[in-house]
Amino acid sequence: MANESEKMYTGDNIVQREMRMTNGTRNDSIVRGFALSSVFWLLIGLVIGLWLAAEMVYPSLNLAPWLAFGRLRVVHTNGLVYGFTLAGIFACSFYMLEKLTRTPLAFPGLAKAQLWLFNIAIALAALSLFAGMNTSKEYAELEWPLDIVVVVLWVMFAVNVMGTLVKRREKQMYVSLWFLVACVVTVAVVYILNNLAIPVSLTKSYSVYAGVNDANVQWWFGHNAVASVFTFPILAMFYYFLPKSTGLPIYSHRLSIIAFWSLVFGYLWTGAHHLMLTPVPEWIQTVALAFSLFLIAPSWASVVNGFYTMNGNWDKMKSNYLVKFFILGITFYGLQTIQGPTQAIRALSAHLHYTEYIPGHVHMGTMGWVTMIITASMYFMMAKISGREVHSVKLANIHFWLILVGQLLFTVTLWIAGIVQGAMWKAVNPDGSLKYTFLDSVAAMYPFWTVRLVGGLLYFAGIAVFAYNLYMTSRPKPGTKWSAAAAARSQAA
Amino acid sequence: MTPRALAYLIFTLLLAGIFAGIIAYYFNRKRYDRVEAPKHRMLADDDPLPDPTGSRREG
Repeated sequence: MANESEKMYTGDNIVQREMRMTNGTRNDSIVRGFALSSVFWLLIGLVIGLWLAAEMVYPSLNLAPWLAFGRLRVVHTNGLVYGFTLAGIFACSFYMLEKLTRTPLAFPGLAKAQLWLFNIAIALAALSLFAGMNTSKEYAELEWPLDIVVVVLWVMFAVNVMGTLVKRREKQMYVSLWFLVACVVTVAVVYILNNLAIPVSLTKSYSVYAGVNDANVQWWFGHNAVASVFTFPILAMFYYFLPKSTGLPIYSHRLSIIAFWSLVFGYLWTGAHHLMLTPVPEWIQTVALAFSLFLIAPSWASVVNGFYTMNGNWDKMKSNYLVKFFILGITFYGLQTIQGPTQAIRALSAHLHYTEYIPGHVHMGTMGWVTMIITASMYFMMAKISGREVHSVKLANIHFWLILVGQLLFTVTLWIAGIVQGAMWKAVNPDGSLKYTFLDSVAAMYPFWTVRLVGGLLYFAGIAVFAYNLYMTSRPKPGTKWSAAAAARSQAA
Repeated sequence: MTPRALAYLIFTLLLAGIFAGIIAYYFNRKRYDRVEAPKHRMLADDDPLPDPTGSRREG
């Protein structure tokens, strides 16, 4: 069996190379490695998130300094943005790249090295943030030595993406590849420019920008990190895995291309909507507001494209367990991209900014849109590369319902909490004095924080089911060439 | 109008022009089939291929 597998690898004609790619014999181990790393960091990030939610209800859980809210919060966000989401993006990107270009990865050895370096970097990042090493710039908290590692990792990724695209045998690029290119370029530009800093020691540096400029660059980065990590590559997955899992072509490829270019043109101007009613010049705020509202159109172009793809085939929502994830995922993306721009409107921003409404908004995007799409994509990929069906459709359905109910409980509760909080802060007596103290507003949050914790627990249970189901699916099917090749490799090792 | 303001205006108009050009390019009826072709081809990338070893391909 091993000899037969070897024979398949050594051939150099096109058919054999195609088989090497589609039969799960070579670069699938990299995809599998990134996918399982992603799930590992997802579980870690969620456990920390649960602890944080519990700290809100039971403040005595703030075990300073290592488990204080201020430290744990950044481990939670960095672990999930850079650990879970990026690893998921790497896994899905490498998989989609090979399939859509009909070309093996340009540098598989580099991708393997990237896998190891990535996990070491995330572990070091978590440790440094636990230890309180923090630049204090949101989503850019890592200190300069780790920033350099992140840049090296990104260059490794970019070299493989661009190298494979250059060598591609499929001339026309499907929209998912366009989104991957945007992800590679945008992350590189915004991450490097925002993290420019002057080191004063191995663990401390100061931003090269100051005051309002620093805030402006920070949120130009902050919002485009959302675009580059939570939008472009996730849309790439949506546009690839929805058609692949249903067998239905996307409704309109040209609409998706227009949506792509509109997002690329519009996103980079929106960062200052995080700084409404601040000392940032008003015209910059207005430009950000205008472009934020503009972005509703291309975002909904993708939503409409997804819905129209299912036109006449909505029965697949019942018969195909993956479709539920993709359709609910794109629905949450649609809701998210209405909610976000409206939050930028000054009157609403004045009421909602700094309240619980904002984490409610963010978590609909991350727990609804991003996680739904990544986990469904992983089910599809893992089944393909292990040569078996998903371990249990029933468990996948349980996973779906748990994360859906958990997420809705979590986010809707926080929206209501935010509206209550904003109203309490602004309520005044007839004489103009404040009606409530700040502590009154904190006390009013406890019921909401308790429900949020319950929602988080349900969500975590769903993800635990997913992790088990995916792991079981990822084991090579006995008797296949993939398992024979894996056995031969481990024997050789 | 200062040179800086003029530069901003030209840059903005240039971007808007490029954007309009991209839309016009992709929505040109002549290119419809070509622009839509990748959505069909991407569905075929996992099709079973002939096995050069003669044995049935698994997975």
